[in-house]
Amino acid sequence: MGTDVTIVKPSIEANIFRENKKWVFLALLCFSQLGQLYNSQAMPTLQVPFEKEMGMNEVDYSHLVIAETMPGFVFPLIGGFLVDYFGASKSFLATNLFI
Amino acid sequence: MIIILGQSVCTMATYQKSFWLFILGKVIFNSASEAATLARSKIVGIWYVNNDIGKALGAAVVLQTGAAIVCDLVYPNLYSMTHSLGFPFLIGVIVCFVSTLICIRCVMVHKKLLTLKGGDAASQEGNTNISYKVIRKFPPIIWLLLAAASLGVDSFIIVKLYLGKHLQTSYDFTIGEAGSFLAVSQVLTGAATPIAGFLTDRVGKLPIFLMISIGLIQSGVFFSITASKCERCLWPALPIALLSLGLGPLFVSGYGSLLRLIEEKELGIATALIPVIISAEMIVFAILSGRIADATFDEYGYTWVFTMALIIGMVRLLFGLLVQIYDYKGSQKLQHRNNEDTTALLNRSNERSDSENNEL
Repeated sequence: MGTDVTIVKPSIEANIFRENKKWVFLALLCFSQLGQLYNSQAMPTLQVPFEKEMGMNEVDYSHLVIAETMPGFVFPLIGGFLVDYFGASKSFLATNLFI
Repeated sequence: MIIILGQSVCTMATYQKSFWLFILGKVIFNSASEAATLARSKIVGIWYVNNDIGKALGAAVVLQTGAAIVCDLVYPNLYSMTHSLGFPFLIGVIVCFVSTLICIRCVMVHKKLLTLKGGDAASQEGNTNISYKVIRKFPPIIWLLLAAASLGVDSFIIVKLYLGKHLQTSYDFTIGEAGSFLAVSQVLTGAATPIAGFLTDRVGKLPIFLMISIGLIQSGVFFSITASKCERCLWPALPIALLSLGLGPLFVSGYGSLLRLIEEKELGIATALIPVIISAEMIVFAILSGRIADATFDEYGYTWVFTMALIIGMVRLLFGLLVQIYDYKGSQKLQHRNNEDTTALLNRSNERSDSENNEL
């Protein structure tokens, strides 16, 4: 009996913790992306000042779009494989700690 | 830290007016962002089960949208106030630093969950047998779904990329006002997304939501081309509203469908396919739209660029229809409110601790 209680406890505790903290975790998860989201939306509104101050034209602007897009083409394929290989938790901890 | 580095390089580039340094900063920044984003979508499957998934995805978009709204308002207005391109980017560095602190707190909460689950919980989430060959085993409907969702996002992105300048040149809005338009559009996306999340959880029929979202975006693109040109009038609000209202449901129905169709252990590769396909397509479309804009902007504004987005949208509408037909005639996993799949996620996340209990 005693063994059963100690064995089952972690799973129950984890579920209770998850239930209690799930919305706090969601808020943290979302706000942890604040830096990348806040800064990744800047270009469409600043296109005109960029053209004026940096002498950028429409083709240059498309190069900037490509520069922003390229990592999205390269990283997810390798990273997606690693996420499945190591599991979501390890990958989540690793990517967040290093970045 | 790499995100902060990328943003810092961009800031330095704007102060030095160096276009190629700015490109380098953007590559660093976006590489770090992509790496940080990878595991986040899958972690949602661990924390949120049953009908919470739709709400979690919806709430995530709302909070993410908040950040985008602030960006649309703050960046152009800081530029207007200071007439310095570097200053808004410098503020961006500070925001990156704050989000890094929040990130550390987020990691601590997740580590606590892992501790409570038991020492091996994280180790057993992995799938060491995973291979890219798993892509070949995905049901064919996935490719139709990816085509519909990715092309949907592409046409939205193309219009959004040029919308700021379009508002300033075709409607004589100031840079701050153009930013406000984009911010309002983010509010609409933020409002539409949780509603879509709620409805998809309740109703199912994800392909229908996919097509509705595509229809809204298409209407937005169409009105962007046809709306009357006038000085500081509100005509451009209509297409922007339609575009914005379509994006949230597209996100919810696209990712929601993937969660239903793909096994949890293969979700990493499956969800990675969406940004990969969008990025691959956008590289091509950015080259095309840049050339089209360069050749036609002086005479026609962005009419021909938006027309390209409209054509892309017509193709994705076709794929959306094919998703509905394929699923309706097949497994119908996307048609009904499906508790089995999401409950299975809960079971899978708990089954390891249960099996440990049984063994002991």
